[in-house]
Amino acid sequence: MNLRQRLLITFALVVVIVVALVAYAVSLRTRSAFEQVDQERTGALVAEFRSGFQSQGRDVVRKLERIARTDDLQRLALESSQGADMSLYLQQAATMAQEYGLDYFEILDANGNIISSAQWPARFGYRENLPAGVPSDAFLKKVELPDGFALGLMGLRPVRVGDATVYLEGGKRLDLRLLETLSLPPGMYAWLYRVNGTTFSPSDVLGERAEAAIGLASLVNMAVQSGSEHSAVVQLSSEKFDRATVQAIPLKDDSGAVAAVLLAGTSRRPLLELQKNIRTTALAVAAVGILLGILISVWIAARFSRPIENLAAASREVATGNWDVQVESHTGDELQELADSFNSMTRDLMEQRDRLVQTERVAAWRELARRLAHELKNPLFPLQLTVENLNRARSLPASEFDEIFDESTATLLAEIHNLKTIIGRFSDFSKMPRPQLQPTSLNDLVQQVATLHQAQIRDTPNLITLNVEFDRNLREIPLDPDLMHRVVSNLFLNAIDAMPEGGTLTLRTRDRDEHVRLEIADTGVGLTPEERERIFTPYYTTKKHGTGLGLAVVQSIVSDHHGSISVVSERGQGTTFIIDLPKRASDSAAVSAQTGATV
Amino acid sequence: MRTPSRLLAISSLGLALAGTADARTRPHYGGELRVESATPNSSIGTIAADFVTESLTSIDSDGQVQPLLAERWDSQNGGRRWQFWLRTNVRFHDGKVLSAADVTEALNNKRGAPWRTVRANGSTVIVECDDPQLLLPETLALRQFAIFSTDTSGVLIGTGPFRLTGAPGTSIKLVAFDDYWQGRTYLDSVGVTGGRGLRDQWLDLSVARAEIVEVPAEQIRRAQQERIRTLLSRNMELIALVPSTNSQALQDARMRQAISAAVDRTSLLNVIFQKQGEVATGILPNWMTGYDFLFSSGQNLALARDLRNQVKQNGTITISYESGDSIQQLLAERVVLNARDAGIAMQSGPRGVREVDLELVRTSLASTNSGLALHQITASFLPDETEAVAADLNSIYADERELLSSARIIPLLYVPRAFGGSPRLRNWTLGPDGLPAIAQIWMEDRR
Repeated sequence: MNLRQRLLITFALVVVIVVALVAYAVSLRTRSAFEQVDQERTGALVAEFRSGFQSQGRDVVRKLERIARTDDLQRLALESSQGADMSLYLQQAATMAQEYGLDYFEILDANGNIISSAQWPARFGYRENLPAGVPSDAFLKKVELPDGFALGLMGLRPVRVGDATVYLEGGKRLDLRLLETLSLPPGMYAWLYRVNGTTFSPSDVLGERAEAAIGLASLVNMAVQSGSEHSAVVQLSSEKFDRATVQAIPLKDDSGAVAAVLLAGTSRRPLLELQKNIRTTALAVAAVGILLGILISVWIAARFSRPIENLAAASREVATGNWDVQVESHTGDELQELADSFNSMTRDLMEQRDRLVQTERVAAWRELARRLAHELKNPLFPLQLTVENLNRARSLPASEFDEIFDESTATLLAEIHNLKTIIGRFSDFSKMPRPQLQPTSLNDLVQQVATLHQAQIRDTPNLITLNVEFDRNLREIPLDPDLMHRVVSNLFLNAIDAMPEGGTLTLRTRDRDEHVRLEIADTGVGLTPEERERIFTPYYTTKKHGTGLGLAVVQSIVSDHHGSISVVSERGQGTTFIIDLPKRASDSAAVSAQTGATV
Repeated sequence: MRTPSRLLAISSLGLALAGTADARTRPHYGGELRVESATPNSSIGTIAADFVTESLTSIDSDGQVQPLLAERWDSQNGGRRWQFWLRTNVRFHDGKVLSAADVTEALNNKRGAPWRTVRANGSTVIVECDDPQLLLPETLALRQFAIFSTDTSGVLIGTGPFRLTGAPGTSIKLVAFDDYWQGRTYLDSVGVTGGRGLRDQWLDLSVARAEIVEVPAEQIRRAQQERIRTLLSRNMELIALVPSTNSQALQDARMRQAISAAVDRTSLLNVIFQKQGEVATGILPNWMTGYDFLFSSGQNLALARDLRNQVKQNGTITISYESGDSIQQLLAERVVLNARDAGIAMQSGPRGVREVDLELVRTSLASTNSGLALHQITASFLPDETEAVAADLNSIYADERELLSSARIIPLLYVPRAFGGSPRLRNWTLGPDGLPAIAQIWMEDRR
């Protein structure tokens, strides 16, 4: 991941996290504020309901008291105690209920038997369950009707005339009318659930949006079973935002059982919509922030990371050996200073390398000259002695002069041959022939070299074991058999020379993708790091004898084959020469020309 | 002026006043009788028909057949052939003299007639039947076999004491028929107004805007409390439960018997009708048969529960009542309560709203003849099970017993018919059928 990408991700993360935190905080605070308002509104609604409830209850009780004071009821009470025929009063309750605006009204004798019933006239003679004592206030009661039950806000009043007592039980139906007295602000709902059995029934829910009754089931059940208030968030319809916070307040009848549940709800739509808006805004801000981040990262890239990337690329070039790299920078700041310093460094490196190359060239020429002088000096010195000897022998008798002349000429010819050999080697090195590539089996070639030098292995004073590991799947590759024979032979002999105490000489071939690898390894004395550095330098040798051109020739031939050679060695651990040769003549770029030593 | 003259003057004045008073209390002609009814205007023609038409025979208050348009009759062939001799001085309202041909035309093609043919034979009418009809004269007294025709405008033309004026369906006016064969009635006319609510009728009576109004049986005591002059008939109206023959829930007779045993008839009578009437244990009232005591009538919840438990009840039984009739609704709801006390699931509703298992019916006796009355009740509610009219009391008892044991009809109460009348009415009685005998009425002048 580059600097620009990291900057972009970092900036985007910062923006997203900050925006998310802010949105969350705002959302939380908003919900808290809404819920507080909801609670207040719900509390006010419930208080209003209770007030209306109590007011209606007082109204019911007042009406019953007025009825109790009427002459009709006084007479009825008296006649009831005297055992008179009460059938005349069968319709009395209905008449009085209509007159006094009561939904339910019954006249009961002292034992609770119905004398007259407005809501169910046919129930005359049946006994009504009277509460223990006469409650002073109104109470909730399930009123039996011909087609089921209804909920009534009831009152009970006795009518006493002397020893005679009858009871008046009457009230108002608890239905939508009570709910309609509530002033519901927009977004608030009120329902009344009439408890009718143990199973929740949507048809027992009164109020607007009765279709939402299904969603109230569990809340109602909780309130009914526990007898205490509960609140919950209720889904009112399939629409996602149609939810409400509903508080359930159980209303108990005279026996203490829950007869009805008042449900006061506040729509959560405004809150949900606001939260949605907050989320949308947050997403938009985050998107803008990310876009901004992209723009800033692009600017930063142009302003900062590109010069740094250029510097990094240039550094990599330098690391690969290409020191002739310059970095452009016109930022006018520290980056430009850095670029200038880098450029100065590479220039210095180039200069130093040039000087080093020059020095090495000079050193190589000096070494060559020294070697040449050393090589040439050996045969020249006997040449000089021989000529001096001949010059001295001119004064000697002819027979002694002839003998000395023959010895001297032989010596001269031998040394001149040496000189020619030395010069021939140098000449050979200077004009190495171009390889003539032809499909060749590397395994066969290496085997030929091993067979050729088997005698030398046998003749070594200490045992050298030859280990051959050929890859049998190797195919023929383009090689110059003669030149490559020379290479393998040279390395083979060097390996033998490196194991004066004996050891193991390993010849290994491997198929490696685009190239073939040949390894020639010994378990000899190994090389020092300095020796590894210079081992392919012409005329460099660790032997007492030799021109120092063998490995240089090997390197040159391998290079001409578009291959690479490297050496792995440690002092006392042995040495391995690794040659990689291309499988095809055109794959010259697949195998990089490795120069120098690698470990 | 001294004493003799004064005495003479006073005496003369007294005699004159006494004469005037006596004149006011003697029957005299004139006046229009205004009758009001809750029956809708569209149906009051059936009420008016009682005063416009007559049958060949009539039934008296003892249930005995009396001659009317027919003077006498005779039967042959075991009651399969009857011959009726017609009165000769009877005229229709259009002046036409009643003939055998008129009777033949009126009686042929009558619905529910037990005869095969009716034909004129001189001044007599021959009625031939496939089956023996021992009570054919009693049957001919039924309203449905009255002798009448209609004119081109559809107005009924009969031989009764009043003739109809005005088109049927509106407030009806009956005018005295001067040539009525039993003599012109005292009243000049009778106006019958239908569709009047009970309170309105009583109010009209109290302010002399009506002379005869209805008093439902359940309001008799209240009417008496309000000092309304009330005439009660014998217990002529049967209130009963009739199980539907198509009801799956009541296919088993034990369920019907359970319902019958569950009903507290005494409470219905004592409370709803304030003891005006009698508990009906039989289909016919006790005053008609005298053997009411042979049937059980009291509520027996234990028996009802036992019978109910023997039967698997499928669904809730529905009892229907006449829509808009609050008393019927009250009766039906009370029956529902009684049934629930016996473990029978029941509900009530007005007729026509839902499928019905049980109907609450209220019907008047068609005749004071017990055989005929039972036959007519059976024909009304169980037309597929109706047999020939039973002529003797044993047969009547057997038929009634069979109906009661199978609970095909569940009688609840018998209540009287009652009417409220103006203090001006004189000679005001109710006929054998419980309706006001208007032909005999005369009215005092207004003071």
